[in-house]
Amino acid sequence: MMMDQKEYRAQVDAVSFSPDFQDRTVARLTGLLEKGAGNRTKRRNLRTGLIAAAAAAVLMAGAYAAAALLGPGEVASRLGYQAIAAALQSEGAVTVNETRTVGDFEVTLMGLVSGGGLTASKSLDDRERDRLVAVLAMTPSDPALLKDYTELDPPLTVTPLAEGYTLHQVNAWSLNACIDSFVEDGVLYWEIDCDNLEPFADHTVYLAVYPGADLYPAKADIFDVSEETGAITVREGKDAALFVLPLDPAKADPQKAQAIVEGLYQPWAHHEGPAPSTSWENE
Amino acid sequence: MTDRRREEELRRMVEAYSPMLLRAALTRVPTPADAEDVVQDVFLCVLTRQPRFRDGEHEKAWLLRAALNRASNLRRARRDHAPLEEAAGAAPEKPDYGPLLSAVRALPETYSAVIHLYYYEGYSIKEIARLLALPAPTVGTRLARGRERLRKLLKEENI
Repeated sequence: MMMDQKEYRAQVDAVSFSPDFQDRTVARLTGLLEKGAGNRTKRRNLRTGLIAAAAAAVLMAGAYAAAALLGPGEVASRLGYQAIAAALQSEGAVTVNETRTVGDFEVTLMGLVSGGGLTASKSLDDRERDRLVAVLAMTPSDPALLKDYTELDPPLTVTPLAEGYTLHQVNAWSLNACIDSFVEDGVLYWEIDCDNLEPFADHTVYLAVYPGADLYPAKADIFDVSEETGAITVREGKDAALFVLPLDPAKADPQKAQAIVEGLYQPWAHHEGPAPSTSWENE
Repeated sequence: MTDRRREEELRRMVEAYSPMLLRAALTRVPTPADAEDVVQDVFLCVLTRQPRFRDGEHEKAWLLRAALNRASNLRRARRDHAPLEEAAGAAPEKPDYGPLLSAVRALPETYSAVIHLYYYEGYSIKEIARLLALPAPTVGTRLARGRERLRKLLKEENI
């Protein structure tokens, strides 16, 4: 048999997938949307009302004052994730309450917890994983900054980073991060969960926050990684916060960390080499 | 975005990307039904996570990488559970793929994705590099080594 592209395509095309796959998939997604998967409609309404209320309060008072922040468990509960809320209020949760300024926002990492299936994701794949959940509050210097808030174009991006690993290897995308958020009393609350970071705990692990919506920290041109030590720093003149996550080094598992990195990021070694010809023929 | 618009957006993505994602997933999982599970799970992730795509290229790359990653996970899970399923007589029947497709599927994942994207989808090395977030020379090397392995595999099978 000739080894050629045409034959390969013919063999792939001969595989029969369900003819109604697309219809079934759309029907399933639509059904979940109607049931509130993502729960955007309800929260959007809540947000709109609360933003309007906050704006009215500003007009009446003539000044903006941040209200007391919700607790991490309350945030998860408001979002409808009761298991996460319970975990954040359990003994295993860690309270951080550390605040940094990023752009026009005061960002507070309130707390975090790790555990199996703690995720806002509906994906079975995510639900079977060990996850780390962190809750943040972002208070803008001017509440008008949240007037047009949408999760599709957020003012800030949050991502895990780990020293000793590249920005490509450990980030929100590679660790399957899932984010949910809402605005209440002029404060933007974020729940972010990603694959458990405890295996990386023999390194300094960060939750990085930076302006903009670029999910790829390497492309955001904000962080420097030392080639010698693996240390991650915010580039001079750039605006970002690196919250050190208080993970238990005893839970570090370098082999598992490596497996996570290799499994989630393309585990392809970076070798230089010539480009091949464009056909299998003539070999 | 209203639910109606989200529904339309999801429908557009399912229609535009399903065929490519199913084919890519099939290079890693045992059966077409597994590939369908993988791709449905990817779209479920889009629904629940609402990832922010910069443009069409970013969207396609995200979906493709998500599908390949999930297919890898499923393949590992199937491999881990295979002895139990076989013992229980519940192992899924493996389809009879053509010899070239079987050979590509038998390649390490590091090579099969590049080979498939290049030879089936017709992407250039530069395009594959962008899709998989790899340096172009790496894609070139993977393609060359994948082809070499394929040639050996097919020779062993007398094809």
